Amino acid sequence: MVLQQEKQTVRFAGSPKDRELAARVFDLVLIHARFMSDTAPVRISLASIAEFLDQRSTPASIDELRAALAASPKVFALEQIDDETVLLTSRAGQVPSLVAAPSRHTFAQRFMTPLPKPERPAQPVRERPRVYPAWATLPSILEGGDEEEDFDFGPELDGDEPAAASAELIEIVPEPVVTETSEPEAAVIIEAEPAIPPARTITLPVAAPTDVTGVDDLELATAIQQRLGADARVANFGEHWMMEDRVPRLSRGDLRRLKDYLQEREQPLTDDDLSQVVLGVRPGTAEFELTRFATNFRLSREHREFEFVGTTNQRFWTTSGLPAIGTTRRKPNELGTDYRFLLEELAAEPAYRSLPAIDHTLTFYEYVHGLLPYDARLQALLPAPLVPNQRSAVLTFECPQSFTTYLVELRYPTPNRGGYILGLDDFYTDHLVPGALISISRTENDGHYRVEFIAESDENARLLELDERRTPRYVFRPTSFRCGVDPKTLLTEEKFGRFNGEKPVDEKIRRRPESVVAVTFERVGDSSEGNLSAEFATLLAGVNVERPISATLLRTVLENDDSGAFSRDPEKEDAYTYVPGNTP
Amino acid sequence: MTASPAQPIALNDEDLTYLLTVLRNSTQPMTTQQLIDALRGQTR
Repeated sequence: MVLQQEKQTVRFAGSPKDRELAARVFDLVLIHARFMSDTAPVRISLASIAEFLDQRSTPASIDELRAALAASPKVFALEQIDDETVLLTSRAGQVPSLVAAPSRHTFAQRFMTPLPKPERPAQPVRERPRVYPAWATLPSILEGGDEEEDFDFGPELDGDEPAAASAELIEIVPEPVVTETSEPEAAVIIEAEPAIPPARTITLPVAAPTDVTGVDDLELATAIQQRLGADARVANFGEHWMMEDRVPRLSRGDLRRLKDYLQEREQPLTDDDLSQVVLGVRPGTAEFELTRFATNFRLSREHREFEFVGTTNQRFWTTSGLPAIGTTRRKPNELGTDYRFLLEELAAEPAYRSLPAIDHTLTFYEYVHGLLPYDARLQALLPAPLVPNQRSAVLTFECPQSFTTYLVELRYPTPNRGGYILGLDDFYTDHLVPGALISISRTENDGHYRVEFIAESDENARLLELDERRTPRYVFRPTSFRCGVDPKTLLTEEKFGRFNGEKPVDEKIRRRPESVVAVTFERVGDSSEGNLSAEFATLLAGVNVERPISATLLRTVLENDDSGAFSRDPEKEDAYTYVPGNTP
Repeated sequence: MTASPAQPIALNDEDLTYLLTVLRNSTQPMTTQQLIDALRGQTR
């Protein structure tokens, strides 16, 4: 439907000259405000009107204009703005109303003063439909008894009294009708005028931000970890944080390809590798950091398929089915049990990565299995677990003397098993012998370490080895080595010759450090007045052929022996004696 | 409010809201140090 708006005629007052001038001014207003709505206020200064009229050869002075416009107060109004007289009117020919219409019901007001929630009358509790008791048990159905008792068919009607019974029904029926009609009416009247409770005003306490000027970064990091870590909206991995809904998700296909790639490479891989090769994001691009974080965060949620085995700077991931790092001579659990004594030697509050480097003398047990014990010193050199319940961390050990980097695995201690590093078999076999001195130093990367030995000129000696061809036996074989060693712990035939042809002790004896010490006395001790005497350093090297024992543990065993089997040798410096046959 | 050394500092709801806003405005993962700097900036 098309409507044509009729234009209303504007009437001007005053003398004919004033009306004629007012009409010209109004035409000017219509031209000036041709794109404005009819009721929008139009402002034009009198000076510009006079100038316009002068250009049109119909000049009028300011005073003439003022008089002509003042004669039509319904059409024109004059305002004084910054010492300038301004005409105010509208296209409709009426002075516009400048007072804003009162807004009784604004959107903002509705939020600030919400109306109370309308209270609904309490709904009557619906009766729960139940199975008729007669149907509850199978025998009652099969026997078909008690039907007359259970089913209520109303009063029985005798054939003699049909008229009386129907009369009773007729009388009973109207009664409830009367009562039911009267009650709802009363209820309707009550509900018709509900009392409107006053609007609820919710006052929020004004919480000021915590002043953190005097708090150090470590404490603040802990506070952030506690507060944001407990918030499900925030994604966290290591030192990185992001809103969970902004972290890209990995599809089932992505997860499958990540697992396939790990299994194809047969070793743990870093998040850098996985992001580049599998997810196809180039390092240096804007989304690389985001993809790497998404890889770490999303994989950390896939406990069944992936396991984090990295550090802060080298975030390694592994999956099931990868070949184990390190020795296969003993199972990881057995190694952990062997190192159980280290649990008592670890610091209660470890200062991870507080030591820049440590020196270590390699034992026979460590050499054979390619291990390092995770003792208090190694704990102070290596990083803490990055994620909760992290069982192991894959580290890289670089030997600058051979330009070789080894992938090793640090097994963190558990409540009943000690920790250790494994995977150094090749390094030991290629460059070292038992008794060699090595140094391990940290780098800026908390997952990368430098391992060095003392380079020496060629030396030959017959050294202890474990011959595992048939029945395992200890033998001495000529060996050439070019590394610095501790002469007291070097297992030469001259010093440890009684090991030759010996079998490794039973597992039952191995479990008890005292028994292993007694056996070692018999293998390395010097006979003196019916007793066996051995220096502590020699004893330590000999004991560690069978099982790992630290100097602390060995000292404890020798000093705290209640059976009297072990005692200090008063004739030698730092030596002990053992009474043969007196096994503690 | 000044933290005493005996009692560890705890962030209140205002701090949490601020940190969430900071994280929401970031398109990249932020480090803990960046969040600490943001908290210090809020106090100033």
